[in-house]
Amino acid sequence: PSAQGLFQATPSQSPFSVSQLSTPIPNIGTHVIINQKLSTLGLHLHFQRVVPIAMDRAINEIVSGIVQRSVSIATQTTKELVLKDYAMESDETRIYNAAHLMVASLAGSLAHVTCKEPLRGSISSQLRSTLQGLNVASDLLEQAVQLVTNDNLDLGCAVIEQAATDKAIQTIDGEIAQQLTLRRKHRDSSFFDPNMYGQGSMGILPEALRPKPGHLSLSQQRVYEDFVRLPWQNQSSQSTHAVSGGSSSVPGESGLTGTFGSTAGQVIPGYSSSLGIGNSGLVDVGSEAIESTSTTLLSASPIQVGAVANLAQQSTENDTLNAAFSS
Amino acid sequence: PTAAGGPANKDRKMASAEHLVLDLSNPDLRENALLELSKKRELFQDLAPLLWNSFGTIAALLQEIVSIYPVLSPPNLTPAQSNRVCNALALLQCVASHPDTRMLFLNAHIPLYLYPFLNTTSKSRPFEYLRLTSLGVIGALVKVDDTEVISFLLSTEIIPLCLRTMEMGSELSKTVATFIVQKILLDDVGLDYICTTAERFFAVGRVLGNMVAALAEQPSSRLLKHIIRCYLRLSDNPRACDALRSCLPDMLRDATFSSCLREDPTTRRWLQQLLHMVGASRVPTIQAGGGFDHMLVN
Repeated sequence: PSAQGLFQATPSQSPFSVSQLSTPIPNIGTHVIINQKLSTLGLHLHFQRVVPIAMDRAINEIVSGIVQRSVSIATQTTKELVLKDYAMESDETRIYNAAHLMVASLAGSLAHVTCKEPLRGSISSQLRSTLQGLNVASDLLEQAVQLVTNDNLDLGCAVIEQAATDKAIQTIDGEIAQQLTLRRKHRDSSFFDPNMYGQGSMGILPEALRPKPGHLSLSQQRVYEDFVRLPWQNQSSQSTHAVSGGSSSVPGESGLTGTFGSTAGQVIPGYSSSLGIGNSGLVDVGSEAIESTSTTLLSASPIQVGAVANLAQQSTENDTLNAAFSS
Repeated sequence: PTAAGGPANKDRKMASAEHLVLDLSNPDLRENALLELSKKRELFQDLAPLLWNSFGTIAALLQEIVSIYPVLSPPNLTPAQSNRVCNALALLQCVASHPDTRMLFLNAHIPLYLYPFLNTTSKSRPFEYLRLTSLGVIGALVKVDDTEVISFLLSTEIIPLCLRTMEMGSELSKTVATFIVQKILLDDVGLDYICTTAERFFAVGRVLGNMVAALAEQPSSRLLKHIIRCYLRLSDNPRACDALRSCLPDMLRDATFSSCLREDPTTRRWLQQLLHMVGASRVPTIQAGGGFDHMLVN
């Protein structure tokens, strides 16, 4: 069994019932891509018939779990950050707007990135089982299955992303409203949220960075508006699938051959020089972690401390020397 | 003399930190601000509360993270993209390390946005760096021994992600991932979690065993140290200890790593303790309801 399954936590209490999920796929048949190559394989008609069914089943197989997880994470993040940042905002519409933009983007992005590999497997196996009785050589069929899977993966991801986005927007209002009610009770004196700023954490925050009573500056508002501009959101807000379908065969095919390690050992020209900064930061990361072990867990002997101190330099060297570990 | 220079210097530094934090919320200035801040983050005291409490900064850092999700699969992350997001992660590491912001960071579930990075498999350098820096954030969280942190990480399934890096990462990534597993195991909640089922124990045991075998080819004393500490801690659990009698790699019992450990008395001592724990009886003790073997049969 794969390690992933073994550690599955018990699903946390979901903020919404899965059964409330609307059927996420309105006429998916009009969006699926049936590659022309299938004609030469003589499989065009078969696939035209089964792809919409397989897609529908594949998506339904995984959508609820992924939407639930993504929405629950994004909702929590959005609630915490928006209420913190808009602690002084008097116009609640602005708070809800910011929350909607953020939660939609976060939930959609998480759902999309999480669903891709499971969905790939699900689409392929749905296609295989739907085409089982077909009298076709199995390697030919497998080739076709991979082709169709890659062609339609982006469509499936977009559908799941959309489902997460919709659910997230429905969910966030309730979460925020509860907190805003509490905040309104304190309105009389100011828009100050005592829970947020009563601990003196704002004391150290300089004037320019502090949220101010009243409205936010334009550049401040823009941070939340920028959530709309993130890449996948643009994709799915356009009349999606014609667009993603046209380009999908390229990344899709490279995905087939290139996903697992074929890039190993490839030297990227100019990489080591351009990475100067990140590099030193990263080495830090490792050495810090190790340093902590030697200080907290060991009674650090002078030799070990020396070794830790050297680590930063050593690993910089290591990183360039072993164009490492690639093998 | 330093008494006069010190505070003024500190004020100047903070002023420039504030300026850079302000720049983070402007998309046009963000890339440079990320670079400068992550470079100087050790110099600025209390950068973490500044990052957390300032308007929109964490939101902007989250945008940096999710904006590269689309290039994770198929793997198309460029060195420049990797560098930029790693700078953002370095700032989040700051927030994860600071006692005033750590729980806020957890409560907003921000570590979870890093998990897709740990789930990547490309071995190209941009991905290696991305995974290593992401592990650094998790490493910063577990550095302080806090059961709440450990419980959060366990409930969000960090273990399989660590195991994946321990199987296929670079030596440095493996070391950080093993360090995280070690810190989790050192907490009672973590040890219980791993030893709750035979499958979990053997998944961890198999990965540790593979790393030991790989170390015989390419030794790394810092990685070996964390591996041995993990084994030793596992032996604190009676059933795991029992299982280790049969599945502890022979290479840890013979002289394979004696030169590797020559300079490291502490790890040598851990190894001796470990061998004492599991070596007490090399013959598997078969007791009804006892070890993992029994659990696996059912």
